[in-house]
Amino acid sequence: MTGRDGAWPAGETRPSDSATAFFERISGSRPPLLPDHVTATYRIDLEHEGQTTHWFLSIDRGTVRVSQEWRGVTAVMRTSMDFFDRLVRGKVNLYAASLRNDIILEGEDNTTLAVSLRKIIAGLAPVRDPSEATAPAGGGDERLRQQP
Amino acid sequence: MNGYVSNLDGINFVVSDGNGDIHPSQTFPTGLFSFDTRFLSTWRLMLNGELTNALAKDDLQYFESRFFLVPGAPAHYVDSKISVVRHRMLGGSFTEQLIVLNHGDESADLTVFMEIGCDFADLFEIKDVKPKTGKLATFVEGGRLHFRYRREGFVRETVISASEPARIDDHGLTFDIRLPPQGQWQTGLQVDALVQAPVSSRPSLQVHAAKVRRKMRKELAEWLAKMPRLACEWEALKQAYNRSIVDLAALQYPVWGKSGLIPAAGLPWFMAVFGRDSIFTSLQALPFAPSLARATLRTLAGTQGASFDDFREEDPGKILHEMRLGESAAFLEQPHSLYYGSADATPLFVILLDEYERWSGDAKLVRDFEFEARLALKWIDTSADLVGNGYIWYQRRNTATGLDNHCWKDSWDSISYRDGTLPEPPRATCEIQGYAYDAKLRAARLARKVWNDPAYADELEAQAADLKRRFNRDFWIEDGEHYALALDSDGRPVDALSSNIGHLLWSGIVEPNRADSLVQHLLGPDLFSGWGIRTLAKTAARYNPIGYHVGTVWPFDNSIIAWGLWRYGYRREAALVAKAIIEASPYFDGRLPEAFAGYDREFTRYPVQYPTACSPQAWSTGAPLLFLRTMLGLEPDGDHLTSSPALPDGIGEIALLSIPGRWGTTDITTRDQEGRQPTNSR
Repeated sequence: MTGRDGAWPAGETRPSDSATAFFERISGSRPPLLPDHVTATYRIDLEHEGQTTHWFLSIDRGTVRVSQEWRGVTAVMRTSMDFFDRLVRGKVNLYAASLRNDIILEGEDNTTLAVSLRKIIAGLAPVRDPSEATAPAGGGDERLRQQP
Repeated sequence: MNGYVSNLDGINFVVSDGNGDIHPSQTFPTGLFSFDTRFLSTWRLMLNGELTNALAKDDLQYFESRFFLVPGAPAHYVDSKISVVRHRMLGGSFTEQLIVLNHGDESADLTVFMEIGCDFADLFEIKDVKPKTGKLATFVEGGRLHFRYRREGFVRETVISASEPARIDDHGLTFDIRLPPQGQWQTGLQVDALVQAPVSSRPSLQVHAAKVRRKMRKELAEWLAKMPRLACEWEALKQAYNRSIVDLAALQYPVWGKSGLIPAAGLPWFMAVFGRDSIFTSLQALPFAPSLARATLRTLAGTQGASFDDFREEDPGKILHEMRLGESAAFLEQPHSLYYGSADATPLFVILLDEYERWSGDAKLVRDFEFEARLALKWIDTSADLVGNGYIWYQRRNTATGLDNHCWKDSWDSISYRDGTLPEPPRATCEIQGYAYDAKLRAARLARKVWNDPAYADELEAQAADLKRRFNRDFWIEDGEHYALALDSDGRPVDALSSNIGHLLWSGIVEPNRADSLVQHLLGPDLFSGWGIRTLAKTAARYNPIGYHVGTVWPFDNSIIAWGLWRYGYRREAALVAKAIIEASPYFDGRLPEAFAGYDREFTRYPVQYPTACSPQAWSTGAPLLFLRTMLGLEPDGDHLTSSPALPDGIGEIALLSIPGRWGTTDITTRDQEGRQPTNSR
């Protein structure tokens, strides 16, 4: 198969549906925290068992479109399917992950890609009243919870 | 930083002793640093087993130094036949050109050894020593010495190479040389600090720093050519100004993609982005280097808070406090993977956006960031109001590694009652309410002028008026005749007298009939030392002239207060404060430190440096610029620059030429006589 068109060989299931579900959910939406002055196209490469799936994230003045058709981009984000799954569920921090190379960001617009994706994901989370903040230090980050 | 030599280029810096050597220290940041990581912890030159000693050193530019050395202890080198020149340069790579000279009539056999070590300490491990978790490997490959540190996918690597043949082992590079009579030998040494990805090669420091060595002199020259020219007879001001504009060039770096160059906060502990520091520095430098404001606004808009995160003290709409790039941030040992522990950066962001537009006329940027500005203003009214009574409050949610105080005085003991007791959180410090007031009024102006939303402007103005009324009721201390430092968790005034009240003048939240008594306090003996206004008055129990935020004098603080004095019409008083700090600057070779001691001027005769003050420190670097603006009384008025000056007595004429702004460039010239009109020519 080629990862390029995102098609999977007959008889095989996709390695994870959460990425697909995430992209389907945000495509066509206007994420509430995404500024309306960003217009750009980015590529997100997700690796799983030696295969790479490519997703193209286009932002046009605050509106998101997702496709798997190949196009020119100004930044690329690369990570494992598993890590991306945890990222979009708000379980890991994108910035810290990029410092650890759990996520690789490349291209001239890589910081804009990072902040845009961060704001898109944050906009999906249920809003919590800060006065009820009782979460442990580390917030929702799984890494910290694993520590004794 | 006494006795140390530092070179810097944005977030890359090297700190050594006066001989150019780096001796390993677990507790002081000597070494070569980049990405908040120490890439060289030992770097010692030895000739025939002896360290060298400096006869002289030249600080050529902020990014290069030259050392003239002789081998051996000081007592021996009177008749030395051998000398060494070390020419160091930082910019992308760290390089050193070593030249060994034989002044004798006989040839000399020498062993030149550069001892090298790398501990890859995170800057926060130097403040608070702890063992490394990852694995360190040292190896020689391709004629280069490699030190590689790996912890999971986090890889940092130092690579050292030489232009001349060397014997290389894990401890360094050795050169066996024979110098003919009157002969010389030289080698280039290059140190590359690499940030590696596990899969593909990632931009190394050279690429990230975006400044290659050969371009640096040219870039500095171009930067200086863009600065307004200062002509005056006041030597201290001239020296401080010239030092400041060079140091601003040194401190700036491209932190965030294509946002431009933004000032890092201070050497050596704070070579990172701090929202508050970058905003204040940009405000101070607006009449001189508007590019800093533009880059700061872009960076802080991009990193604006998006979720509720207790570890990082993040809320949607909140502006960044601190961003770090080291191991402790990567592995969540510190919260700096975007930390939001400041309550003032958010209103200050809106203030900078407005002030930037007033100077630059760049309405496009204001339109672009309408979204972020509205989110910031919403944060002020929602998440920031922890008590629900219309003020900005803070209480740390990260009790392990977060900051106690989320105001500019962010040390643990900075906010106290007059009797020294610390108030229970949450706390609402006075100056942050002033910033909120100013932010609302400035946003109202932008809403009318740029965002085309007069209804929003009306709403913001009504909120500001209400805030001013409540603030003057709740924060005013009748018997002391000043504003409280803060409100405590019960809404009671925290009654210590502090420099914070000066910021209120800058914000305009002070009722005019109360300004007189504030000014008397600010310039009275309890706050004014003769070298400037202290952070905390002598009448407070916690006052300590060498306490970080409880008695020292901060040039940045004074520059904002002087601006406030000017705003309320106290122009002679503004000039007095400006004069005091500028007169302190020659004691630091024109480079104002982060803070100096609050001793009375009559007692010490010279300003005593605070022991661990950072220098250069961005907002101290910016202070002479803002003082200059205040003394000249510069204000944009539509498409013109106006001037209502008040110069200190006895300093003669000041001319500032080619001030950039929406008017193109303009010149202001004025003298120290009261009532004399400035000349303003295009």
